[in-house]
Amino acid sequence: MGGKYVEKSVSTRNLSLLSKARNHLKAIMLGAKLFIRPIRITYRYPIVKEIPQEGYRGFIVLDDQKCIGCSLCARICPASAMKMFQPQEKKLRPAINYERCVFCGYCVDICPENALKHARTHDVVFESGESMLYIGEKFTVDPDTQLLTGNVRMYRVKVDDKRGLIYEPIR
Amino acid sequence: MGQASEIGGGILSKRIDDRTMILFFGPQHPSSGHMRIIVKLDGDIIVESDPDLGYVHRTMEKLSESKEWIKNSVLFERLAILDAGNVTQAYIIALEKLLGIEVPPRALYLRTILSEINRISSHLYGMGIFAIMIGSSTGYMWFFGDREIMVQLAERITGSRLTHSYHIPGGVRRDVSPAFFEELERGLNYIERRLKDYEVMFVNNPIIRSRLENVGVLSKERAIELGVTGPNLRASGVSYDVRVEEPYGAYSFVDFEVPVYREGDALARTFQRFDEIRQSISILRQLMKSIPEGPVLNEKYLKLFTSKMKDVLNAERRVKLPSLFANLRPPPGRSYGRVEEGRGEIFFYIESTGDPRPYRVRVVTPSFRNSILFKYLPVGERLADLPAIYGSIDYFPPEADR
Repeated sequence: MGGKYVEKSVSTRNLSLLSKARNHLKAIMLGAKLFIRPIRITYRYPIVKEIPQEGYRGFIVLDDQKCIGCSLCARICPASAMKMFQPQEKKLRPAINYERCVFCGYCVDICPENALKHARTHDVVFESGESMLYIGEKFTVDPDTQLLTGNVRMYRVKVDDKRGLIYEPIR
Repeated sequence: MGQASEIGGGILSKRIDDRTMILFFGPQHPSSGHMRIIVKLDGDIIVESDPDLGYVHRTMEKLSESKEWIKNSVLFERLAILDAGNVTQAYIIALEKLLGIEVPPRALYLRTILSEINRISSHLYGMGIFAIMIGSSTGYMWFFGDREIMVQLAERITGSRLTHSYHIPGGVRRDVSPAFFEELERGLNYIERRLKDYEVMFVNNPIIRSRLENVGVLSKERAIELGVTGPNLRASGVSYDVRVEEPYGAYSFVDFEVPVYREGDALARTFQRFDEIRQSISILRQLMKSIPEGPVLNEKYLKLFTSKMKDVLNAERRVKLPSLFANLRPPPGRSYGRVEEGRGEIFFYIESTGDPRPYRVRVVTPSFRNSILFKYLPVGERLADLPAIYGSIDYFPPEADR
C-alpha cells in the first residue's frame, strides 16, 4: 500500500504521420459531435437560479427565542463579522456584518443552543454599506423565504456521467 | 537607458539600443497573473528575465499572529482558494502535532477525498489558464467548465464551493451521506471521459504540440539546484512527492502511482498534470470503496458534546464545535505540517508559547518555490514562448505572495 514512482515512457511524444492523421480525424469528429450536442455547464443566471444543496453555507439566520447571549459566535468569528449588541432591557444578541462575513460557518457550528442556522441564499444585492449590517429583527428573517419570489425559474444541479452537470427544474 | 514609451496595446517598453529593449510583461490577469516579468530582449530572444512579485501580498504570516489558532485555518485557505482543502490540511496537521491529537480513520479518508478533488480542480484550473495563455480558448472553456463538477462535489462534502474550512483539529466538520459517493462516481466517470477529449482536442493538437515541445526545458540538475517542487519537479525526472515520502491522511491505505517524466519541457509538464488527474481519479475510487464507518472527530472532543450537539451530529452528520475550540491553547512547542498540494509541497512551521494565538507561523508555498523559474527558465527562449513557459509552471500569485 502507498504510492510509488513510475517512469512514464515517451511513446505519446513523437507521433507518426499516421497517428497525426488519425488525431486530426478524431478532432473533427469530436467537434462535429459537440456541435450537434454541446455540453453546457453554464446557465442563464438571473432568469434561471440554482438552488444549492442541503447543508449549503449561505446567509446566517438567528432564532431569537433560542439565543442565550453567550457570545461564543462573536468570539470564534475569524473575520470579526459577528458582534454582540444589547437591545433595551434585553439580553445580549449577536449582529452580523456581511461586509466582513466569509461564510465559514464557525458561528453556526459553535452555537450551543442551535440558535443560528444557515440559509441557502448566498446572492443578495445591497444598495449601501449600512444595509449589510444585520441587527435585531433583520437578523431573524430567513432570506430563503424570498428565494422563490419574482419571475425566476429554480433548478437543482446534479452531477451526470455524460453531460457533466444537469439542471433539473424544481419549479 | 532610453525613454519608457508605449507601444501598441499599451505595453510599456524601454529601448536600449537598436537591438535590445526592455519589455514589461504584465501585471495583468489572466495572461501574467498578479505579477509581471521584466524581460530584456535581443530581437525577440530573451536575454534577461526578472520576475516582479508581490502584487497580492497580504501579510498572512504576521496577520496569523493576531488571530486565535482555529481562526487561522480560515485565513490560510485564502492562500490558494482553488486548493483550499490541501492548504488548511497542512496547517491543521501541524496544529494536531502540537495538541497531540489523533484523527479517526473516517476523517482521514474524508480529508483525502477532499484533497484529491481539490487536486483535480487545481490541475484543471492551471491547465485552463495555460490554455488561454497560449491562445487555445477551447481548452480554456473546457477545463474551466469541467472544473465546476469538482467544485460542486467539494460543495456537497463541505457546504462551500471554494473556501471549504473543512478541517478542524482532531477531525473534519462534516460527514458525507452515502448518496454523495454515487455522485462522486458519476463525476469521476465524466472527468475520465473528458480526459480522452482533452487529449484529442488539446494535447494532440499540432499547434499546442509545436508550442510546447522543447520549450522551457528544465534539467534534472537545475530543478534540484533551484529547489523547484511539485509536478514541475517530477516532470524533470526527480522522484519526489510528499504523499509517498511522508504519507499523511489516507494515502498509506491506497495504491497509487506518481508519474515521473524525464524531459522537463512544457509538454512534459502538461503530460504530468494529466497523468496526475488520472491517478487522482483512481485514488478517489479506492477511497470510496474502502471508507470505514465511525466517528469523524476525535473521542476526546466528542466527550465534550452536549445532548443538543449530539442530536445535530446524528441528524445532520454535522459536527458542532465544542466551545473549547474558541480558546484553543496548544502546549508550548514547535511543529510542522507538509502536504502535497496541486502545485507542489506546502509547508507550515508553527511555534506556540502556550498562548491562544500562535507565536510564529511560517508558510512555504509551492508557487513561491517555483517562482524562481521565471528568472532562469525563459532565458534564451523567444518572447512568444514566454506565455507557454509561464502557463506550464502553473504559478498562482496569491499563493506565492502570501
